[in-house]
Amino acid sequence: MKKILFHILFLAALLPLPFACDPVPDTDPHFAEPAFVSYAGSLSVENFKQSVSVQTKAPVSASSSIVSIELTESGMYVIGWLAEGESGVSYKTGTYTASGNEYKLAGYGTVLFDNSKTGIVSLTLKPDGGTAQVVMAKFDKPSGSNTVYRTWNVEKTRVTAKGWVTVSADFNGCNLKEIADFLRANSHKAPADVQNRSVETITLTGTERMILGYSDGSADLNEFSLNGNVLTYTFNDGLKSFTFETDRAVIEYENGKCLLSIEGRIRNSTTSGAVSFVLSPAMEK
Amino acid sequence: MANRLFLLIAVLLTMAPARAQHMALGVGAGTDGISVEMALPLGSHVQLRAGYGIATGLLGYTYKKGISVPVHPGDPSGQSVSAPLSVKLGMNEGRLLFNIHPGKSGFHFTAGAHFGSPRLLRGILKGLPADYNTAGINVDGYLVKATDGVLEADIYAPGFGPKTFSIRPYAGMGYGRAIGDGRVGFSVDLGAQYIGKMSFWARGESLTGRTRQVELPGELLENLVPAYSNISEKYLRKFVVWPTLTAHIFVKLF
Repeated sequence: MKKILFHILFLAALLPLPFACDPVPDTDPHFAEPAFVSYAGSLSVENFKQSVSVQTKAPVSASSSIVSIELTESGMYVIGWLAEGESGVSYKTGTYTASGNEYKLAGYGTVLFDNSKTGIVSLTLKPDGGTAQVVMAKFDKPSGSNTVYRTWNVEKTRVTAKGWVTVSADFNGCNLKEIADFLRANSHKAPADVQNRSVETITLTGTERMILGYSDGSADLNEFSLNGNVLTYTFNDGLKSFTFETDRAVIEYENGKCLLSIEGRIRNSTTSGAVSFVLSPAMEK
Repeated sequence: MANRLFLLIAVLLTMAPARAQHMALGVGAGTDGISVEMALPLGSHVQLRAGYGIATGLLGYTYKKGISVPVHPGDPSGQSVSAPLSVKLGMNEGRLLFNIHPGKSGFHFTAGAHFGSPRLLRGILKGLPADYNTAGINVDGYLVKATDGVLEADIYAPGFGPKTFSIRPYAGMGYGRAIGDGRVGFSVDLGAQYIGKMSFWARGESLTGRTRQVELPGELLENLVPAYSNISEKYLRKFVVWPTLTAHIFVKLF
């Protein structure tokens, strides 16, 4: 009996020793397939400047010409339009539902085309409150499938600015003004005309489009190519002053999140740094 | 590593008491915190003590005048504010000690080791500007920053152990017996632990919210704290032993 008590007491004396172990992060992407994979694709309106003038209540004005429609795997649409007298294409986002060849774009109307094939298709545009028009468009289907091809919510942004002291900061979401203010306060350059809006979503599509969705409902459309976990992108938008001289981003997965990281020298600045987005799937089934 | 060492010690300890006829339970206090120990005789000249001590949060000093920190962490040359600094003991460790009695008196030599958490001291910086809740330093993907204006950092001293598990050899002398003739025994000990090279550590957070202790590189601290080089040269590199003065009271269980 004494012996048993000895053993118990001695082991008990040592029990408080630390046993902490770092849990190994789960780097496998386990995400449900987006709901609209079979309906996704890109529509580019042919000769839009001459042939297309779309009447609609919103989001495109009556005098605007639709240039393109992106239909993403996650059920998001992006209409690109060219307003009369303007040279730049504007983008507006929303959600869509689809049945057969018919797509209902919330906030726009209905589009109808043969989505069973790629190439030139006859595209019927029927805006809410407007007159239906038929135009010719080029339809591209996703070239393949990949976990990253979906709409992602931006949960968190980590910004690292290298200087005399290298400082990193975590931001909930991605408010561009908040980040610019932080950079300026910490002796780094930041564009003066950054709007007080957030990047709410980042969408990567199988047709190699990268769509940044903003809190004010606007969007920027860019292109990318994917090689392994390295994404090479081009920016064609007003964010140029916030981009990096490198055009490469690295994609990783950890504990149910997608991490999109860009590192390098900030364009038009002597400052080097990095930006990492923590993304979670949006608009899942 | 830590788990393997623990298992080895546990196995050895479960074998050792099998032949013992007496056992005592003790509590103590000293420069290594407060402790609970079990003691048993190994022959007539050696007594084994095994236990656990904790000093986290005990004994400390607050430098109320504070140290100067920039309002924005990335702008050291800009406006500064003063942030009060508190330094407290941080030990939290097991111990395995052998009291060697050369004669029949209570005088003894002690040899053994403390092992467990490598934390020796804990520093707490309060009242940091709001930027420090958002921004900090990035160590291997882990962001070290303040929470509600409070930033905590630890000084690790692992002795002969790896960076995250301390094995600090102890040698000293004392008077008293853990297990004597009477029911109650007293013991006073004076010695030193070899604590090895000290380093700064703090809790960092990964992008996905995982947290872990990360070592703050010396060159980084030199940039952040102008006086760091001086402190490092004067104290951290030369101060390799921890003076240990303790008093214990033991009650013989049987």
